Amino acid sequence: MHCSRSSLCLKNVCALFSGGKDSTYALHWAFLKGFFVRCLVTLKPEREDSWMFHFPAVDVTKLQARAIGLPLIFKKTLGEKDKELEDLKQALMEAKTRYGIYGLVTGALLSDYQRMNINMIAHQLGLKVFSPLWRKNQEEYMRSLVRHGFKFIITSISVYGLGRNFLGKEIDEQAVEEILLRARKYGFNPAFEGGEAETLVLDAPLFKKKLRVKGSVVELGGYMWRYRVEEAWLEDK
Amino acid sequence: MAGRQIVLKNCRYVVADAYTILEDVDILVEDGKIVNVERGLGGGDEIDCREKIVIPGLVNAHTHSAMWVFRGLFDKGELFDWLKAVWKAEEKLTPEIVYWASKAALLEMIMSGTTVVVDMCFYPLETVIAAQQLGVRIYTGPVIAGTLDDEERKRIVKVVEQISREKTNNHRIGLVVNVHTVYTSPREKLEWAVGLARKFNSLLVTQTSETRDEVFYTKNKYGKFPVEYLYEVGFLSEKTGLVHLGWITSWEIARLREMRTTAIHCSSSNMKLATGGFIPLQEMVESGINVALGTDGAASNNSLDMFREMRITVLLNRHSYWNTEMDASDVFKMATLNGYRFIGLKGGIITPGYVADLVIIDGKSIRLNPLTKRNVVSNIVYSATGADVEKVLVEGKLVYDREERERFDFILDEILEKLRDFIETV
Repeated sequence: MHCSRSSLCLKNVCALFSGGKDSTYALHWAFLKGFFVRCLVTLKPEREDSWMFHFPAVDVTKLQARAIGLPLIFKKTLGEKDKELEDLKQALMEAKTRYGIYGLVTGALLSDYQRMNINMIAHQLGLKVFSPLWRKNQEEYMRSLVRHGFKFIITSISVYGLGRNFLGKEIDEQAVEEILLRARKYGFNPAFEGGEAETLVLDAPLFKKKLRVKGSVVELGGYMWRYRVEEAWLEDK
Repeated sequence: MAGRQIVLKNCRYVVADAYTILEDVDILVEDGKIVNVERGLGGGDEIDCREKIVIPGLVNAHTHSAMWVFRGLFDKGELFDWLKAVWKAEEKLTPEIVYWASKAALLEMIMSGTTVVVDMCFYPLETVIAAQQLGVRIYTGPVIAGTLDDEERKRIVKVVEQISREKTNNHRIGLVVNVHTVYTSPREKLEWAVGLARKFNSLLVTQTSETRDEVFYTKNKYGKFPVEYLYEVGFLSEKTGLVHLGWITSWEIARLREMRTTAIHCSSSNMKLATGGFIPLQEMVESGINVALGTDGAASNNSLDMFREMRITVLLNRHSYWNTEMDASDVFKMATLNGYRFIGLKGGIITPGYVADLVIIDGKSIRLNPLTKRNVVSNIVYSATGADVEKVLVEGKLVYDREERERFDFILDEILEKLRDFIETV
């Protein structure tokens, strides 16, 4: 896209999108701030112990992109540190070439490792980075997600203290309070910033359709659980 | 036998510290120090403080005084474009211009309640002279930037020795070894600066982690982020001040805490130059790091008014964090007590034994009303400006009095006259 005014070009961004609550919330923030979100960029890690991107349920991001109505740049990555950054760079270069983006929006919460690595790649490509959730009060953030109409489920648990009962069910206000209570009791991050759990957004204010999923719970050992998505489809809202 | 005494009589409110407001008290000052704060004090010269608020002096912990002459010169570019324009203009600076421009900046700062200025500028001796004439405390020294050959080292050491000598004769003067930035200073230069600061027991200041460009330049060149790198070369100590820090990482915050290094935040300048980043002020404060405030220079703020800086700091913080945890008292403490802590001087609160650096504010100013004991700090931070300052005392000496405004206007007229040709050429 060519802009007639530079101020408009400056608002073209892409959103790093895992399909989880943080990247979806950041995407909404960008719309509310008047950015033109031109596309979503998703990297699918092939290794489950990926250090930057969500693995579980990431395939359904294609359906989420359709639900939102944005094009998706979808890349597979091996999930190895250096290679993953290179894959991210390639994906962002493609977004820049195809959509003339000036910056990107991320759902980074508190990990400087994640924030600075993304910034380093963006810096090389001359892109600005916007991380609206950075250092926000995470308990309040969890509450606001539900309050603002984000419907999401937990698809992966990797921390002691968050039982399997949370898997696959929609997180409502009561569930949020229970998570916050357990986070304080067992000492994990209330918004799962350290990968304690992964989430999948089924519906959100800007979704034109809602996502439906069916799946089953898989125990990986100890306190590690996964919700394996077996079917996913879109429904009218 | 008692030395020279001054009593600030019947102060309506005294902001003894950021969280303590005294009502209807007197402040007794003797030989430049506060000796008593209570009702019914007498002796010596009296200053009538009915309907006045008295606060500790404000510390501008980072500025470039002489940049006053470049105010409004280039308001458009981000930091590196801005620097190019300013560096070009700076090439024209002479010691004489620096003297007059610094004098203007210092005058402006005194008139808006600043009692301590920590400066980073070329020709620091000229700034020292101007500060001595005006009576404000000045902490300054040479700026290490660019080539550091033997000749340059000798020049820098000579300046350090001169300020050091001035310092022994006048304890309103403090020495700073300034390093411009990490990206303009290879390891050898940083280590030399550290050695110099230790030898002369001076403050050590650098501007760092200000922009993303700078952070990744340092990471690519030295394999570390700027504060990590400074830690590695031994730059950090309790006498070190790191300015800006909008791109600092969480593990670097831990280094500041470990080394008891002061973080100096310049919110207006960072916003004006669109440096991005996110200064983690709440995390710094929670972890016990000493955070002070600075205006930066008049070319990048463009105000030198610490009242405005307090206001913008709390506003930026609330806006960035989406919460109201930081309040007026917190930034007031940064602008007063924390600034004095940084320079190692017992000041910044109004209690016996502390230096009598005091600012008398017009309690009848419309911007400070309605005024109650409950909202006095709130009104100072969110609503007052430097124009509400009536009198300023540094070490118990009156250095500014709004009632003598003509005298200060005369000084400004003289400065403008001296700078007129230079301003036209810039």
